[in-house]
Amino acid sequence: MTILLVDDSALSRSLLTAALSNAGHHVRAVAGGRQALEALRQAPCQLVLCDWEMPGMDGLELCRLIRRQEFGRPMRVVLLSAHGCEDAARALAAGADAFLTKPISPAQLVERIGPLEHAAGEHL
Amino acid sequence: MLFERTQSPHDNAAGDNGPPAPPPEPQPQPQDDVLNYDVLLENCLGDASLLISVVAQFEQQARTDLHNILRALAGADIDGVRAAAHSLKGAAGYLTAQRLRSAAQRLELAARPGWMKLANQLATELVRQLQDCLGRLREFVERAKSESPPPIGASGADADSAVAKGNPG
Repeated sequence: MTILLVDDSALSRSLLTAALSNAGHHVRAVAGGRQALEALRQAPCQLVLCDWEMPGMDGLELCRLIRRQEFGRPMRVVLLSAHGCEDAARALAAGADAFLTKPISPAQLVERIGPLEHAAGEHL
Repeated sequence: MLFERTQSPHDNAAGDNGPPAPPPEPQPQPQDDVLNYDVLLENCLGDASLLISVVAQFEQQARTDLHNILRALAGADIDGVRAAAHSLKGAAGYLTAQRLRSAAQRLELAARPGWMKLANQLATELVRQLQDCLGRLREFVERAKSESPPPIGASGADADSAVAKGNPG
């Protein structure tokens, strides 16, 4: 899959980019919501993997904006949150396709998004 | 839809509107005493140079988060305390630093109006846990260096804006 990883933590970007790339995905990583929107305008992807809590634009707002805008291709959005299940309903309402809670190991993340690859392929 | 939790204990968010309650004491976990080199290396795909880079990034982020926590505490900035503690909690989680993560979580939960005294106490504990964690991580870095050649120009490498292309499989 082509994946845009959005996380303000350089540590998180490094670990997850390495794991996702190692699993065969094509990964771009950016540090915030505005950069993510710019990256998607330049080159849409199949999956946006986004941290929830970021300074400035948070993941929820980014998800809403992605759903409101036209990028020329359907995109899956997965939100990562260190909060609990109470965030799941908000993520769903914002248009997220999946919601995963942290802490999550890189290997777990690769496993969890696996089913989305086939689903994304059906649309693209 | 794929909505799932990967871990469920005591992950309630701070900032709800209910009556204040003491921060829940995180349940002791078997791995609480262990910042595990092998697990961290596994999370780094067995790549010792990535481990070294990740630890460097963690140190940088942790120092920034701690600075922000202490500054926010001094200014009674509850949102600032909560946000910085949350950030540090996330970083600690990726490193499997359970004790540090728990300390950051307690501070995050205590970042509420009227609780600044408790928050300051928890910050003291957080500093202690962070110092312990950084000490252990430096040992990990030395071990990683001994097990692999030093990375060439890769210290503190950032994935920002990089296009990392994996095997298309």
